[in-house]
Amino acid sequence: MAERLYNRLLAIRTERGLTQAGLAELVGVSRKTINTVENGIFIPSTLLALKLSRALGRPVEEIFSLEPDE
Amino acid sequence: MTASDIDKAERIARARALIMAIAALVLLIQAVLGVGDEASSMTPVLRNATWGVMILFWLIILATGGGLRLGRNLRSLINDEVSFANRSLALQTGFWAAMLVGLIVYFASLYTTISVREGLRIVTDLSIAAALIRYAWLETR
Repeated sequence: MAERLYNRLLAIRTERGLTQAGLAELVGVSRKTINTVENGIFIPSTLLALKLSRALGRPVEEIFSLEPDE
Repeated sequence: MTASDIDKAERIARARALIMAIAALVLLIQAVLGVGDEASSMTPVLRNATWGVMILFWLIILATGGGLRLGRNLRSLINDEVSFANRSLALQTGFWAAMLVGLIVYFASLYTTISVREGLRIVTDLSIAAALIRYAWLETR
């Protein structure tokens, strides 16, 4: 059973030229939420994961995964 | 939701965490010094009313996250998913603190005289202080 949720949020966000505050504004959450998700401190709800996916224009499984990047 | 809302929410959330940490410190000092506080210059009615209002105030803040006077956008930002999760963890901490302090007060009362009022006050002060400290710490990560 996977004990961690890995994410590529930082990489995808910077690729899109967005700051944490910019992404927070698009999603409608605080900058702290983006920061804690990026750093793996906080595991987002399905709702937030889908909102992030929509804001970044990427499928949710491309942002979050059960295995670390190769 | 605007960029200024995001900035403002961040400042408010930081201020809230700082105020909570200070309130926790006040509650801790009060729990230590407040036992047998008959020497206080306040009348007993005023002293008890002040304490009751303060405890109720922090319970409401812990239950709601506060910001009740802010606009809808700002309130939803300062009480978003992470804050909600932090509050849940803080309430868990408060519960365990209440149980442990209750246990300690119970056994201490076998060896020393602790009135019901003093005991309840110690348990309430310390458990809310524990919840506030945990919340403040989680919010500043």
